[in-house]
Amino acid sequence: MKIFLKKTIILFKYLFLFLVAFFYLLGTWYEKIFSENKLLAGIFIGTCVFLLLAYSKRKNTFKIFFVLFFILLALFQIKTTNYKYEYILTPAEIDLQIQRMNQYPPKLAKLGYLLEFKRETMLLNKWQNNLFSIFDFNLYFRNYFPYLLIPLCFYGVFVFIKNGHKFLLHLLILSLIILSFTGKNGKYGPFLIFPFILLFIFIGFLELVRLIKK
Amino acid sequence: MTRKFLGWMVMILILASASVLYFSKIGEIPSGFYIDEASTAYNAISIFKTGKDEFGKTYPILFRLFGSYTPPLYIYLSAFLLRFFKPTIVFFRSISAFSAITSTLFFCLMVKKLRIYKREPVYYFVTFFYAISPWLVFNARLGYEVTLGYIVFNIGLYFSYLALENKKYFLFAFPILSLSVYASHNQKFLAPIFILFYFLVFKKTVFRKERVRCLILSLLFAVLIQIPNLSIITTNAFWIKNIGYTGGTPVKKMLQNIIVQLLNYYSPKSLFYFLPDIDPQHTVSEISVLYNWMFIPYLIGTFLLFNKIKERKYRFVALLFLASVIPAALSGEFISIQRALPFLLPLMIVIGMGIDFIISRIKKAYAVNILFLFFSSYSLLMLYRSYFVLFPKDRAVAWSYGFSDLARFIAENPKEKFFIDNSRNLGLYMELLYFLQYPPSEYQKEVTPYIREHYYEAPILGTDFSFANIRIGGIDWTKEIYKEQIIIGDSLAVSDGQAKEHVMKEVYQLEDPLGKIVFKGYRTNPKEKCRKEKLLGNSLSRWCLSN
Repeated sequence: MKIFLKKTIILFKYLFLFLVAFFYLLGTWYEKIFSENKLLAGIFIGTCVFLLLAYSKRKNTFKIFFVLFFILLALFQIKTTNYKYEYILTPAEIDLQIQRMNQYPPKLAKLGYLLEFKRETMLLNKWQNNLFSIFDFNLYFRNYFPYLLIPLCFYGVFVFIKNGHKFLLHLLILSLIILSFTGKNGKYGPFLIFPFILLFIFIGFLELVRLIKK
Repeated sequence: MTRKFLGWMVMILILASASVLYFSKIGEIPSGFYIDEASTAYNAISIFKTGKDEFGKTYPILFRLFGSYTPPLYIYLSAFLLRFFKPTIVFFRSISAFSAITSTLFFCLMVKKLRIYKREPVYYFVTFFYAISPWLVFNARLGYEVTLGYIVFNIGLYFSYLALENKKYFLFAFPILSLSVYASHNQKFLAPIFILFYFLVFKKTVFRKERVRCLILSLLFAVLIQIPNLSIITTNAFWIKNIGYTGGTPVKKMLQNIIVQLLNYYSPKSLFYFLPDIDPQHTVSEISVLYNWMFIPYLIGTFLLFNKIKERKYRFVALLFLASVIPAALSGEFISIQRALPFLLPLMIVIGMGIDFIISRIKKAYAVNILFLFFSSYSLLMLYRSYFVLFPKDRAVAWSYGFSDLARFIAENPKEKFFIDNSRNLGLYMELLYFLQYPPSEYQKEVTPYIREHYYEAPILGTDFSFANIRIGGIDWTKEIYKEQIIIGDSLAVSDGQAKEHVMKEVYQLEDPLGKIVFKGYRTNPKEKCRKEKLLGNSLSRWCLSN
């Protein structure tokens, strides 16, 4: 009973620290969400909390709750993003496509068509653009999280992968795949990944404290 | 066949295929001859013919060029080789191509010495992908010093790693690193940064009692090599590239810049998809510095690198991985991918770790071979598309396209006088000097002796130049239209309205491969201009009154 109580206190301590970090880091962004869409705000904070619990306790109950919240958050991500816009070419892009297709030597005209003009190639290029945009660190650390926390985040990612949370790692990859299709330009930004970034910063911070204490 | 022999055969195949990529149409792609290339070439010719640079300075330690004070190794090496070769574009770019081939060889030697991969074929796969990487192919075809600096530095790195195992290699390591300082600006900052980190990270190995003698001797050689540089260390010229980050920039902004730059250099988006370098001369259409598929091995390799960092070989790679971008990140507000070239070596080693990890998970050997064939074909196709199809046309103007044609036009009209507008390209005089093969001994007479006398104080060069039948400067519309001459400029220099107003007749036009105007030339008609002014009742200019 005593051990259980001690573990619960530690868990609540982490949870409290995590929530402090949450409001400190995402305060302004979260305020906007809260004022505009309270349901999303609730789902978002629920996802963050259950992600932390699933990471630190590895209990199936927490994992199931996290998955449920994650699915809801993913649905909101898709709903609040005008992803069709991501796959439409502007007139300037069409001009450029035609110009580039004509740059190929005549005997390679077909290759030029395949690489520069074919609809499937264009869609693949657009998807590629989205994919690499969500891997751009400046996207998150310029607009949503402070610069100074980048080392903590990287260190957190390292510890996260090292600790072998395959289940959460798969969900992280899934969130990146979803974002690569929807694009980064949602109404509230690419928030599907934010719980993970927050977790990484938090893990990085705890590990740093642990290292200093050592 | 022994395994070693087979390894060498594969290596020869890799170098042969790399050579095809580096030398194929090297004189035509990049289109044009960039001003830095022209300036390097003309100064090499000048040194070869007169022992002086374009300003008449005898064997300079740093070459002033356009004010960059470039380290001299590339120019002196070119000048020496001009005894055997003609000063063509192919010749000047070939030095970089040979540097890239040598760097491929040393890359393979380095990864083999590091014994960092589990499977033998991975060493050759990674070397192949290193050799055909867009970053190296691009730099292998430049007519200036960046790639030479890179390879000299990499040879120094190779020996500095060997020195951790065998002290005698110290005798090569630091002197070669010291020599690299004379090859390129990058290495001027990177070599001391690397040596400092090397001492810090490997202090227990490096400063062992039995090694100290070799170490001191090596450092002594390194310092001796630096004597020419030390003789000018107090001058403005030596520190010219520091101005970017020691100027009046507030500390907070500077720190922010450095963080943003570091993020950009390590960002998968920058490395594998879209290069945020604002200089179009540094980039290739639709491809970044590495192939897009490499970003997965990059992420895996980065994790593995830091996971195994306690082992010496991984610490060495991590040291390079972190130190090699520092000079680039500190050098100003904008990303410059050329300054980050030393990052290519550790980056490819790390990507190789990722490839090795993936391959070790594949049980069937034929599946590995199919994957290799698929990714190498895909990579070569992407390279062909971006570098050999789109780049020559898209980046022609950025690479100073058209000066050879302009020089031909000037040479074909020796009796004409020419005025060339340089409002948007102050360095264009160098293109004409090179393409017209103007004798350096003659040009040195045209340059004000003040620059020669205050060479290392970094005096500012004027904007007007003249040699042979050419004057170069900004167009003064109150003067130049009253002289019998041909005015030549880019598409913005003379508008159709101005040509009509000043009664000028178009006599020359050059378009780039995309059909946009690069140069336009107009013959002035002072007499007709005066007659028109008289008819309109305008006040006549001094020239009209005196003629």
